[in-house]
Amino acid sequence: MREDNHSCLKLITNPEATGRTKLVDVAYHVVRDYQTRGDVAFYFLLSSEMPADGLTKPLPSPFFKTFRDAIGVGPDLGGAVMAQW
Amino acid sequence: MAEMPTKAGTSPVGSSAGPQLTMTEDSDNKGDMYEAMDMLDAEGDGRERHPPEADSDSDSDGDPRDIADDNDEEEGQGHTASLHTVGHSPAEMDNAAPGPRRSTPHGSLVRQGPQGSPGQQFRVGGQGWLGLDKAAGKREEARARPDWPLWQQGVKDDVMAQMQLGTWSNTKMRNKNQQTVKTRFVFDIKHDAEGNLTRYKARLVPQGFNQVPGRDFDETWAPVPNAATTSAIFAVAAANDWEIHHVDIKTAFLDAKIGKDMYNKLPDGVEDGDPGEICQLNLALHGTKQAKRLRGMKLEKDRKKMGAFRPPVDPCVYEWNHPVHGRVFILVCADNLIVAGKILAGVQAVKSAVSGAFDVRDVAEVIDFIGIKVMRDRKACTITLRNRGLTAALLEALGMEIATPSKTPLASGVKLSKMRKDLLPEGNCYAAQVRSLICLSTVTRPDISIAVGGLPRFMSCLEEAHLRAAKGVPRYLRGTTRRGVAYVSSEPLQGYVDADWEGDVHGRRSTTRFTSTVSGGPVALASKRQSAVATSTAEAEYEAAAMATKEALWLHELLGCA
Repeated sequence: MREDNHSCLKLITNPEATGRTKLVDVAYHVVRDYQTRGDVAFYFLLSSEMPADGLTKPLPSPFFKTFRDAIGVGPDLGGAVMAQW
Repeated sequence: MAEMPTKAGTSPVGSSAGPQLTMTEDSDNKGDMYEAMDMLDAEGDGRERHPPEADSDSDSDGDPRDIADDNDEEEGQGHTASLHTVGHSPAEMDNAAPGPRRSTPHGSLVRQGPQGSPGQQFRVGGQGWLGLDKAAGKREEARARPDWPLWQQGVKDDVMAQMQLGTWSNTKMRNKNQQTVKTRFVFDIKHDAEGNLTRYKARLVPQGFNQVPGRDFDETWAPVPNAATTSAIFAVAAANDWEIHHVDIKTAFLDAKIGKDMYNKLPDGVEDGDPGEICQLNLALHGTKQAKRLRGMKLEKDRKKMGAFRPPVDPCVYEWNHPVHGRVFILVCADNLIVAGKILAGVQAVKSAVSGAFDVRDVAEVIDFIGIKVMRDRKACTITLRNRGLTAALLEALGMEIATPSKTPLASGVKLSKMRKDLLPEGNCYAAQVRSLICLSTVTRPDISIAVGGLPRFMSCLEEAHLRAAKGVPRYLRGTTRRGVAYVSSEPLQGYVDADWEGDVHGRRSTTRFTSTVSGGPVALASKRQSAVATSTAEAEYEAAAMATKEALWLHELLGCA
């Protein structure tokens, strides 16, 4: 699993408790369990390379293209692309 | 469900001679995607219409990659032409009654609003295609046509066949006001793989919308898999070079017992005993609301008998372990079955077991599954799924088939909000427009999912700005009709999670966005507004990570079956 937020990664990997983390709903700490059990591994990925980034906000066209490629929407293999956008 | 068009029979599927793509226009049958239109599900309603031939003006911009496209287009036209030359003299063509076109699957996509009535537009625009090569819409229309005797024969044949099966038995009306479900005939012209006319078909269908819950039916659940499951099976098959075959269960005759006291009234003109008699349905006639469910139940019973089991991850997937042929997976989507496995013999074994219990049409290697066109390159181990037909139909239904294409589905930097003033009047087509995009975004077009996720939030308080934003999506699709998802590598499951902190400017709640890829292509996307308000980006992301992990674990389990 790729994440683009360092503080969040730290929260997941370490049982940190600060003044602000106590406000996080207990239900979400389930992610720590999964992580320690080894069901899922988290890695950092820059926002700019993040495919999910394009799902959170409307991107301008050059970034949108990168996003589209990253999530696996490509020109089909027959080369059947319309205009090159 | 749909008859294969002209080229289906001629294109060698998965031939070993070099990278071969199976190019057919059959994905233009969007019918299957809309079970709601099942009433008119007369095997091959895709034939009713053709994608706008000029859907690609901007096509040939000198790009060499467009060559394949052009062929594609020509083939499409050839198909149309062949339809027009079928067995009628020009004189007959002139006599064609300009009756209304039968409402098409995508016609149902857009409710006709008071002012913008895309459905209406579509019908008017379709006048040019009218002719005797098209099936009659209504019985009255068929009766007015010079080819009525042929239709009449079709009606007789269907009634005879149903009688032989014992689909209904005649009974006396219990009282004068006894409620019955009306029936009607749906007409279709059948063609063989070469496009030659083979027969005029009529099929009796009960009008399911007249059925009363409790009296005529109870449950209507039909097996339809999760979009992620559908994608995953293709993704895994692409990477492991599995055989994927498609079996289409014919819906015409069902031998499932209906188990309800349901009474039908046959259409006028069907010779059927006394006028005071009505039909009691014994078998679930196709078109009744419970038909698909009953078939699904029968399928399950059969699969259990066969020894296939259902992993708990998705109720529509069956796994069958064969001592010799290894594992074979069966994906059930209403009438359509995908049978996938490493060894061809195993796949064949499953298929023969299914065809033993049902009347099926075996399409061999999958080309078109629920309107999704599957293009495969066995050598390169890649599969591309695209839904060009549905996209084109959608644009047409929205009246945007000649709109100026745009590069992105939503303009960047625009943050839509609810101003709650200058609201647009009720009865606009916004809801229909947004809704129609959903099914496109789930499997083949995840690139529009941001729009699909965000736009419905404004349905209740629609403003000009929202409508303008919603227009962007069809415009984007217009420029990218032929794109689809591609599974091109053997990469394992990857997840990507992100959250937009306080993306919802009113509730200040964040939205989780999660996407996962298998074999380099998307299999599952999730977008959900978080239930709690996050006070920092880290908190929002933490919430998102928790949700995404749960989603990813389900996916992992699903893929673990494979």
